[in-house]
Amino acid sequence: MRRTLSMVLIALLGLTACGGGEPAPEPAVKARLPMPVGAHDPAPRPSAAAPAPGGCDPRASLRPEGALPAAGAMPAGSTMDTILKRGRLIVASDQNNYLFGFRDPGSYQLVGFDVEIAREVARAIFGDPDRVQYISVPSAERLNAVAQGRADIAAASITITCQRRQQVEFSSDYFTGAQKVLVRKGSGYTGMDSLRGKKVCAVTDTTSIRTVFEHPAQPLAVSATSWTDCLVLLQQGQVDAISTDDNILVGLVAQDPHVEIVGPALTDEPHGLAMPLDKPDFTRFVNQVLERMRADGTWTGIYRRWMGAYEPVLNQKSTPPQARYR
Amino acid sequence: MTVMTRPAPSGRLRIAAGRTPGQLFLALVAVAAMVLLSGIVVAVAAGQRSTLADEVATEDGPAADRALRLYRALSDADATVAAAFLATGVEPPALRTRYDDDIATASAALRRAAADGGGGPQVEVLTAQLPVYTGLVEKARAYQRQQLPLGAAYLREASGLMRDTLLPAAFELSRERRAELGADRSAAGATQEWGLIVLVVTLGLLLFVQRRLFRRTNRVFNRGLVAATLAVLLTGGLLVGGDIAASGDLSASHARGSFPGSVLAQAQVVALQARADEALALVARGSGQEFEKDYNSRMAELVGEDGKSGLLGRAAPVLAAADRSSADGRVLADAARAARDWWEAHRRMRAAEDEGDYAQAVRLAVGTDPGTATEHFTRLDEMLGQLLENAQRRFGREAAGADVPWRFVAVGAMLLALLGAAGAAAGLQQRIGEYR
Repeated sequence: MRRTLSMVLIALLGLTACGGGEPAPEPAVKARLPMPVGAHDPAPRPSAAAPAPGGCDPRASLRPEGALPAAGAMPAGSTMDTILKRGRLIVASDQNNYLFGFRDPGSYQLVGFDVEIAREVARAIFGDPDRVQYISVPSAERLNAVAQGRADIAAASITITCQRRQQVEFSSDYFTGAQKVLVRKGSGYTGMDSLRGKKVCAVTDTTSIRTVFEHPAQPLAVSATSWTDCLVLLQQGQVDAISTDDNILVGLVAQDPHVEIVGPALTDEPHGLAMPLDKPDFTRFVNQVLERMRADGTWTGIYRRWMGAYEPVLNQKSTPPQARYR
Repeated sequence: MTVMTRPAPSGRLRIAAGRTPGQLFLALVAVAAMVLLSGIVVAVAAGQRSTLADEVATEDGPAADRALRLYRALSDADATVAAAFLATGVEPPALRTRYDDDIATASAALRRAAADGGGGPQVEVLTAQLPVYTGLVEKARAYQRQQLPLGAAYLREASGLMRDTLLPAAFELSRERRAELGADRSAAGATQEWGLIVLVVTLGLLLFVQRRLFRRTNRVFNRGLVAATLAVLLTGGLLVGGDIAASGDLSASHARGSFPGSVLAQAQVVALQARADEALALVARGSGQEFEKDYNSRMAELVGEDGKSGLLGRAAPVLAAADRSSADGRVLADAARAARDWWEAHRRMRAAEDEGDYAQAVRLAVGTDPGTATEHFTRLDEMLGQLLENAQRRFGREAAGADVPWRFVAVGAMLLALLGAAGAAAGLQQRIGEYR
């Protein structure tokens, strides 16, 4: 008994010795992909949506009164007169929204669609579109900057909502966007409906990510801190799509020719300039400037300059949106 | 012969005579063996200490320096690439070269760190992620060349990888290397308990044998045994002296070299990270509040809110103790002033950006004119680098001598042991001879 046992042991030892002689195959090493700072997969679920105040037409702004005053001759005591005397229009702007408001890396000049609209307001006050001071505020602070008087006006692709109307006054709609979906070309996705169980990126705490969470196709939301971070995730293959307003998506398309905007409009996004609630004369003035821009082709010129190449995929075409007043 | 004698009853001598030569021979063997053994124990232990002390100077110290250089090169790459991003058009060649050199330095230091052994998980993370980092930086540059904001997004991702993964691993590696240096340093300077115990036992045996001999022969001193006792006592003296000399050198290498070095290196890395924050806040174009907050807390860590405390404030007494000429202290005071000036220039830069004068903010942050943040930061970085080099040189000088006392002890202990054993043998042999 003892002999058999020892023989078995010896045999086993011999076997293990043989096994040790052969080189073990190297385990395959998997790459660890980097993630943009602040990106979360899955995204934290946003807190319950604040109920929108009922019975509000977000587009209805203050009606212009009388004729537009001549540049450099603002009515005494008006908000425009104060700005004129100060010598510059203070604008809270976005510096990170490609094609709408961004720093030209060659000259550091702030350029884009929104910036040109703001410059037209300055032109109407001073007769000189260069009399603008842009202050740098994070996007979450833009409305506060106007409400607290740190800026005369915010021009930063702000979606007009009834909730925001309680904090600031909005101009008439100057660009009608719509939430859509951005995917890699050739991926076969045709819209949010085809993204069931797929990863869709949106910026933390935006209405866009809420739409992703609430969509019946139940895509998996991934959050990032900026829209370009979402594009990084899409390029690195960590998400299948990005969803937000088409005016933002078009800025991403302009940076990567291998992505495209697909699907029907998921939401209606009117965009307005924001002014303080207690300066209605200024809102009326701005609306009048917008009316003139619609009528004399200035608006269409700006649109063609920045959006012309993307008109086919945009919800907003080269005809300006009609103003509505209350 | 001047051996002192004392009158003794001759009868007693006669009685012991029959057994004594045998006992004496045994005593001779035992005493000579113990004296030799104690010498060997002391010499071997001293040899080990000398090897350890040599390791501290030639291996641990340089390995700790290399880990630090890796950490510094990575921080510098992060700061440099961010600053280069703010330039209009193509990045300035000087910054490009500096970044390339940082990556080359880091790769070389990493290769050496792997060869130094230890720090396995850190070295693995660093070797795996450094190429990923450089890949992201190149992608960021390619987009930046096309003037697309996507470049800044890739830069932020690269910087995040650097700060969240690479720098913590490099910091941990550097900490481990410093711990190894500290452990070897205290081992090399540790008291030799075994050597002392063996010496005391040998001394006891010698005194015992001499006392017995005195009882038997009434001769107070035996020249050979006295010589052996002296040899053992001298060995003990040598041991204590060597201990004092070596640990003196080693603690000086710490107090004057590696300790101020670690404080200065920490200050330098904090300054580099603040520099990266400053540039990244501007690259983020209005959404860089996190970087701005980071910058201010790092500057507070560096010079304190009052501009006099912080890491640089704490380094002052350390350097005063380390450098007798106090030249380093003056350089440190200049460095603290540069840090304060930098913070001041940064505030002006911040005000310019908040007011929308982005071009002026960039000029103040990365321009090369006098009074810009660049000027003050560069001055600070260079002075800290110079102080760090001085500390490393002092470490090398102090630690290089620490193995010499131990070598001296090893050789001396062996010689004395041979002499002592010979003395004991001669002395006892003489007594044995008296019985023939």
